[in-house]
Amino acid sequence: MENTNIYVPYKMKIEKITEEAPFVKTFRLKFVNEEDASKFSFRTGQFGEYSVYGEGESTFCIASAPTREGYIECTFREAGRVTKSLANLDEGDVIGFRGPYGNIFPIEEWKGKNLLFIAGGIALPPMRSVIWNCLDLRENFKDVTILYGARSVSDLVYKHELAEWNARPDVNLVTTVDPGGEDPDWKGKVGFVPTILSEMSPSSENTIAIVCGPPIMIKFTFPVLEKLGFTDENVFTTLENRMKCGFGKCGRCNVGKVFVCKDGPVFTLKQMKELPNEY
Amino acid sequence: MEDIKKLARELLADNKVQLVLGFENGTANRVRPAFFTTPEAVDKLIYNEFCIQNIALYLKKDICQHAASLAITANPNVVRSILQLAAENQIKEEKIKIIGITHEGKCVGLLDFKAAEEFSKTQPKGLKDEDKALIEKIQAMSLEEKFDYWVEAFSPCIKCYACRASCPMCYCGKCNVESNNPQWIPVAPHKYGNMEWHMMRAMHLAGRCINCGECNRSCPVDIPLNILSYMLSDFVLEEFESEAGLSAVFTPALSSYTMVDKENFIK
Amino acid sequence: MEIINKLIDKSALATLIERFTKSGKEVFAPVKSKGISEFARVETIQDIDFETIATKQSAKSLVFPKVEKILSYEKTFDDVIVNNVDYTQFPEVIAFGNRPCDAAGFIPLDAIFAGELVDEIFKARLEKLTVISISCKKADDYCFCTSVNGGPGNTTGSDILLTETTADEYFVEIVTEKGKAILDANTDLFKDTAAIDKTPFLAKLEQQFTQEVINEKLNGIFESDIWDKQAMRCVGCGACAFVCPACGCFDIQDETKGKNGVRHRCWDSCGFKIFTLHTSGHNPREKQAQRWRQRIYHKFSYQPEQQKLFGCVGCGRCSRACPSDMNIAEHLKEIAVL
Repeated sequence: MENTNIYVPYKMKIEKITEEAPFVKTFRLKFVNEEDASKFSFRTGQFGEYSVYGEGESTFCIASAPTREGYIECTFREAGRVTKSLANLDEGDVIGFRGPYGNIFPIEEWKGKNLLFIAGGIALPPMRSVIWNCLDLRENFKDVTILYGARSVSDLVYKHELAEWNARPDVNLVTTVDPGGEDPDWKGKVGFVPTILSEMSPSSENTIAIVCGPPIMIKFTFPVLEKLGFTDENVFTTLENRMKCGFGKCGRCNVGKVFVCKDGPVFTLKQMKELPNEY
Repeated sequence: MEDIKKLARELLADNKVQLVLGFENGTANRVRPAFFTTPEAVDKLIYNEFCIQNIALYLKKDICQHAASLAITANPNVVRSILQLAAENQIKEEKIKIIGITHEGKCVGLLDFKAAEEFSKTQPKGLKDEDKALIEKIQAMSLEEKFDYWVEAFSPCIKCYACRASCPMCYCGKCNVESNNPQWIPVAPHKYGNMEWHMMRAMHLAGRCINCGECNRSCPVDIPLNILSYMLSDFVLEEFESEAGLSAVFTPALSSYTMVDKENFIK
Repeated sequence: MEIINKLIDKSALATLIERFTKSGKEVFAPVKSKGISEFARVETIQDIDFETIATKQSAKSLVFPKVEKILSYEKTFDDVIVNNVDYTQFPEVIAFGNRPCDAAGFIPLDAIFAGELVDEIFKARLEKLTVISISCKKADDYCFCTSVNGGPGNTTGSDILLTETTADEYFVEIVTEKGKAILDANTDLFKDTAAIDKTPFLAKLEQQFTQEVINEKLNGIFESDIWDKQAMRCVGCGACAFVCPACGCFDIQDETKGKNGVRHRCWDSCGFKIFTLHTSGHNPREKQAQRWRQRIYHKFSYQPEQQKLFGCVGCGRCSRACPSDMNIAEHLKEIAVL
């Protein structure tokens, strides 16, 4: 019988584990079955359901770029039952993965534009996929600016990649930590993301802004972007809500008439403004 | 009923309470809980033999938590619930005015906690004849038969948690069944998931349940949960001489130790 | 297909049910036990409760059981073997004697489980199900099917609809190919007839509102205080959702025993606080009023938008099951006149 059961995950092997920050890890996952690997493809912005059998499933975005073929990556913070058991796994262990689900960042439509990425804390992973995707197709875009903030220096994730982006002449990286989160060696900025964004005052001319972060950061960042002249159609973000199925059936992740899993997770600010405040 | 309405009206008119919790006529000849905030609104307040839902449940809901003071039309089950909630530090005497109503529907006026304790003692727990018969039937069973009886009785459970949601004593912000790390109770409503859930709930209510029977009344598949609780209450009374809902100062048997506690379970 | 009209007398109906069970089909019908009528497996027509207006629970568990295996797994030292559910082996099931509202409920349920990614487990169960409904002679104070485009003699969702016309006979409407297959295999039991007007044989049920009006009203009242008012006495259980023929929300749960385990899908309800609770503690639908609003919007606004159908069939089961008399028809009527 051909497997068309939508609940059966792919079998994935944990190829590499990176400790990103306290309680935050990145898994690099490879398909155990060649056939699955050859059939699988995804686009930036999409997410999946990651299984630890016996514990359940947890929802995270695919944090790697589709331009990096042969594997997918996810970054998660230990919080609930599934993420805690994921964190106990070792390289070589097997987990389940269902996906990809959800919509995408429309990077095709961003050709010839400046890109402004704004991320906070553990919300860099969904952004990392689209950043690498765009950097791997660098010639398609004009200026690339990344503003990334975290509560403290130790909470910054993807430190190696931050260094890599920092070293690139074709990327303008600004990192910041919340006041009090700096350490003596800290060379970045100190201040909340919206404040730093205000100081940077990037031009909204021909620019797409992509914002991911905790609700409080999002709340204060949108007005700054508006002030800078960004139109609602040119500001993108990703939402998350509690999910079980990932494909619009289990009924819990909807915000008004849209399912975050099926119609999102990527939304423009224009779309967000039409949604009720249930996220 | 008129004396209850008069009392409720006066309390609201004199600003002695902000809210009266009682009953109104519902749909399809039912009665239902209602919240009255003005003397005029009290016109709709009713009390009759059908007003048996245990509205003490709402004392822990937002609407009552947000009211500075409130009154409640309280039949003996509600009075017992209030005393038990007070004993568990869930409500304060100064916030609540109890409009006492006997099993027969007679209004006995406002009760402070002391009077409520006296009232409770004169208003024994009501148990229907068919309930008594079922209890006798179960008591005559062997341990194995009892176990099988309850597994079978719980099997139609759909885990809608109406029993928990309707129970004034199930006020925990996070129920044990929702705790998943570790997962103490299986979530799925299969045979053993159901059994473990109801056993856990019964144990958490042992010595605290005031035997209003709301769990059974709210159950859409009519599981006799009230019987299970009643039998446990009887057991607690017999073994620990402890009964819930009679005093506002009370430590439930399972969370206290006294020198006279029997140790006959140690074998 | 065009509806085929027939007649069947009650002894022939008894034979039909016997033929079903003898041929290995599982027949589920309302059965009264300890005063409660529920769908249960029957062997003969004598087992069936024809009188009760609505069983406590709907017939949805025939296609969407309260708990169902969606996969199983075996853990070894360094691997996991996942076993699929063999949904080709599901039995042939006959739903018999359900009401037209129950039959109509399969349609919104199917719309949830179909879609871009098809739930093959649900689909296989539905494909194996034949629905033989009986029109309603009576309605009670909770029924409101005529307000949501249904009716006591509505054929939507049924493969065959029976309407009692005399003490001994039913008028038969063969609605679908599945229904026709039953007719073709049992032609000796049916008699020919012209179409008849069923109205005299059906319950009278006044229309209280239209679902289109509700849908329209919902456009402007998301922030209304009506949700707080209506949900005030809601106790926050899931009885309404679980007895509803059209509610399809579910949870996914793993259970392991030793090295083996099962992943279940089980009923869930938007009325529960934990339904939308994030691990962080944040809850997008924190108050019961928001959850009640979700229930109404899902059925009367979101489903019409997403699936071009309404998620309520007017059976009134939620109202009957509610411990605190949250009567959905009453609440919808309030909304209709806002």
